[in-house]
Amino acid sequence: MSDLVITQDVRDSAVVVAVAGDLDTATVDSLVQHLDAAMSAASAPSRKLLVVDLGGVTYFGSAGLNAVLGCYSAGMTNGVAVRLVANAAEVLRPLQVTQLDTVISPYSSLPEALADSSDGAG
Amino acid sequence: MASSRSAAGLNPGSVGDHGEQLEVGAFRFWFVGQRWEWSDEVARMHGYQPGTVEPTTELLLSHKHPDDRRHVQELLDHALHQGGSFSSRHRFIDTAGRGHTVIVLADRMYNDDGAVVGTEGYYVDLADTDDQSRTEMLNAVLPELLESRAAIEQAKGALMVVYQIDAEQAFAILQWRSQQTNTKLRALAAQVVAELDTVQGHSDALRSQFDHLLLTVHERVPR
Repeated sequence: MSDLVITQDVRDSAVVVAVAGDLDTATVDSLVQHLDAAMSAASAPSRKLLVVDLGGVTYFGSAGLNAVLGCYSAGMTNGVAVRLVANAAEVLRPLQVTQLDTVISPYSSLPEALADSSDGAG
Repeated sequence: MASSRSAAGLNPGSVGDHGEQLEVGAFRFWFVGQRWEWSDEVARMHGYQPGTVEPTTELLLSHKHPDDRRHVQELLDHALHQGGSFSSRHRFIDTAGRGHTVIVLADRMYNDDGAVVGTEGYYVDLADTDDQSRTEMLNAVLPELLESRAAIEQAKGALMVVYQIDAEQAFAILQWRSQQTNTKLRALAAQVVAELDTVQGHSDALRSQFDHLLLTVHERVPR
């Protein structure tokens, strides 16, 4: 069991939240708080983009799934595009079997998530 | 699910052949929203009168055994990562402060699109049994649980074809007949399956349509 480490990087055109460690019922509240703060920062007109990088997540369950979905729907409300970076099966499989990857399609790397201009964000 | 709905169709809640009664209850857990349904038996195991409490992540946290690190939901999240039924030992503390050891026997729960929406299964309360009798009882109970689940699923499938309804509706009909006639759902379902060959409504058109479906269905399976 490894602790959850969350770092927030407020850039000119986007906010990047990087998550590493075990994301479970015990640690999810800390992620939700970070995502709330990141959403506020990302709501600035120059940004409108929030990237959640789950590349370092070592355990991903329904608690994490709900935190990400909550952030995504907050983004819909605030006009902020929320993009997910995930490249490990630990995170990808839950997204695939629940078919939530059709709602939030994950990017395989942070540069790709930041570079995509298809939804006009960033 | 308040009190009327037995989540996976197992009622009333005890199994076992030789005098020793094991309490068994059903549950469902939805990943999105982390929402729970408990059968009356699972509510009672935790010390609640059925229908008086809504099981939530927070409520279940209050029942967590102090020596366990993981929340029970993490156990059920197994179905997010791997298919197939699974069983696991779990402990919790009831409202009177008594510890319970249960075997959680669970499987994936799907929606009509084939997406995994959660976990459903049974709690088997092991009560104060010693290891030997515990093993014996589990050996007797687990196949019975799996069989009853299979019978219910098979009966649902028959109803879905005959009445052109979805899985939830099929389950609701079986449950209605079970309650109306005071017959255990699993017994009712098993009897439906046993008597399927007495229904003489085969039409050539249905068979022909199904032939086509069966022979071409692989083309429509998402890969």
